[in-house]
Amino acid sequence: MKSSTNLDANASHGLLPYVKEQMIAAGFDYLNPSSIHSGGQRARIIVEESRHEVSKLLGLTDGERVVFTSGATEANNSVVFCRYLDPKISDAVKKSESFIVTSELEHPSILEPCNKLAELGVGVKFAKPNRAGQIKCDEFYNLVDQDTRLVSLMYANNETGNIFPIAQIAHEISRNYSAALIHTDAVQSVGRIDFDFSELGVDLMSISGHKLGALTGVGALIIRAGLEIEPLLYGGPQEKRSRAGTENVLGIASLGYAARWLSENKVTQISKLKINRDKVKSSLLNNFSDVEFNTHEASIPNTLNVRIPGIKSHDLVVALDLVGVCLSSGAACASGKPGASHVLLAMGLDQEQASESIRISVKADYEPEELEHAIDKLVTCITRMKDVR
Amino acid sequence: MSDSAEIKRVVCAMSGGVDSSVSALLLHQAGYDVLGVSMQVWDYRNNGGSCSRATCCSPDDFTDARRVAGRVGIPYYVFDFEKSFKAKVIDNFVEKYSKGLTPNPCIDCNNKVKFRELRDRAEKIGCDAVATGHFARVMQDKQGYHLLRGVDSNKDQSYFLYSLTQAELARTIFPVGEMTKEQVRELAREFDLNTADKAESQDICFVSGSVQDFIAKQGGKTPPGDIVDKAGRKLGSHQGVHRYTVGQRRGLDIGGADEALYVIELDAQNNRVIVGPKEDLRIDRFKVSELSWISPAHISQDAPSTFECVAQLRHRHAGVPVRVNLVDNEAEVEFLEEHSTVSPGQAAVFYDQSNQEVLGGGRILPKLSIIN
Repeated sequence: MKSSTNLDANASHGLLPYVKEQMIAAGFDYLNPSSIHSGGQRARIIVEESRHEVSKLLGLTDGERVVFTSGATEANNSVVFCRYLDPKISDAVKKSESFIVTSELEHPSILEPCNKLAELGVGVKFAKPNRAGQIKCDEFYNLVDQDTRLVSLMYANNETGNIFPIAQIAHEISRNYSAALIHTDAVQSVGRIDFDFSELGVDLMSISGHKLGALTGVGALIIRAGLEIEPLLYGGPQEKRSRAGTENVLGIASLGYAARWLSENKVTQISKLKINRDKVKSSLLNNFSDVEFNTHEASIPNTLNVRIPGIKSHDLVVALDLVGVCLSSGAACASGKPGASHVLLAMGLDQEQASESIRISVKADYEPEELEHAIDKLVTCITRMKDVR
Repeated sequence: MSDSAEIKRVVCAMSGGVDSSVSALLLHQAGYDVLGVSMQVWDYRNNGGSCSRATCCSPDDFTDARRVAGRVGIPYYVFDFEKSFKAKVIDNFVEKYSKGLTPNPCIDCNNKVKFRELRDRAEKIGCDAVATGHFARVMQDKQGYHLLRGVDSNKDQSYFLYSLTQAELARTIFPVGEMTKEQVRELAREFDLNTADKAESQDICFVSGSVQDFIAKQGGKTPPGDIVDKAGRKLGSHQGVHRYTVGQRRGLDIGGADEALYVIELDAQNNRVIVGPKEDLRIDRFKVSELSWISPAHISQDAPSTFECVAQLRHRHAGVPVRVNLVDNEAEVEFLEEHSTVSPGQAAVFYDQSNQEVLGGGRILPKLSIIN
């Protein structure tokens, strides 16, 4: 199959050219990072250099840790289950209705572990967004009480790009409910918002490699200084006993290279993302008067979720794929079976409106004219499908 | 899709079986711009039943289809038709069973989902035609399009396709219609397609256990009642008419009769299962409604209202000579040679006298109650 233009960067960015070059140059003649011998040392150096690059990108200071995982899904599962697995927390507290407070807009890798715990009798509260897809600080805060032990709210939503006031919420909660750990899923924010981990005021943060231009199958959980959490995986003493299992050296290396590239290019990258996204947005506005945006102003600069009345997003995704443009009708799904977005439904769109919504998520860098051609195809396809109707 | 435009881009419906796999391969080799599409019609996970490999549309079958698409080198997508499949196929299937009929859901699926909705969506994404792995052929001449049986008479599936229209035939391709099943498998092996030796799908794709349990689960359960003979004498009790089909002998649980008794009629209105000796199953005529004609001769202005032809009364039935007499919107069908058995609700499909071309067809009506 021919290569195509990626307007679906929130699903996966694709390997950054810099990362690919660095990986080929590195050659990867390594053994087990835990081994004492030189083969092990070569692996250990790769892992620790990567940890350093990721720390630098996220502005980590002394004691703040990067724990490499198999991806953000593992990091998110670790966060949700760590409080349930904590023997220091009583069963009575675990069963209180606000033991975990999260939102309806979270990624399935937060929602599903929470649902699993709810099945086991653990109390979980889900904050609802308003029609614009915003989570209001005071409404979220009101769900938390003295029994809350975990708060999880994503930094920016993967489907709409809308940003939530995590720093403000973390500040309010940590001031009044110190027993609650605060987590944010920052998968879509890294490299798209210029921030340091410490300024968010959270205890835990999940990131993903392939959303940044690294390989799939690698991510990290960032843990604040002095905090130890119950691990999800038990076994060897890797990652300072936070995550058992021989490190995915190749994946971790790719994440390190991507982090290095982003540290150096973050500011220009963010500007380019906004310019690219706005090109798409103005083309849609200029050509179709009836489009409605599910993305509001406070959003990451690369994402545009838009409803085109009368056009089934799944059909548009297929039609565009056939002319070499990749975008998405919601979150990526392994089976290929499309379903209405839980995020848009939670915002109050009905089934039909949700099924007419597409997500465009751009990269910073394209070949010359590549993005313009993709936008032309987008406009042409929508125009044709409106005619067939 | 206009009638005359050249066909360039084709949607190939892929079930994950070998026939549709080879169809996709043949279309690709013939130079069409092909995209493979699997139709998600039923959620097995939420409706019970395992995703066994004997059924189609299960996630395993999609994976098989996806791998075939990868090997052939065509794009592949899953389209969701769950809602319309439920409304247009399942609900009708359940309703008919609870009325004592034996419906054929494959015909509804072809007619209302595969060749209508899939085609509409194919058109929206810029495709000119729909292809499937059915063993059937389309031949065009000056009169129009003719739907013919597949070359492999053991595998022929034209029976399921009688309700297509001329316009639809013009935009339909059956790539394996000229082949035998063995040739299809051989070609699949030659190109190392992963589905080459996959077992055939059996029975009804969305039912994983017994049809009766499925009907009950989907709200079509009918109450117990009496089993009676033609004279109306009670011989036993039945478990709900949806659990029986005409011609059934086993499982009636009535003793004492001198000869074997068969279900000869399901009288849902009076909640009775009527049984009788084998000869009562054989009838000399029956009626067909919901008619649909497909051959150029039978859709023309001067189509005959009385004619002799061959009627196929169920899938894998060889066909028997009949005389058809069209009255109002129904067909009175009279057997010309031996009398035969029919299952009300099933399709009767009419073929020309050489038993090759589909003329049209309809649904077999229940006979008027024998007793009263």
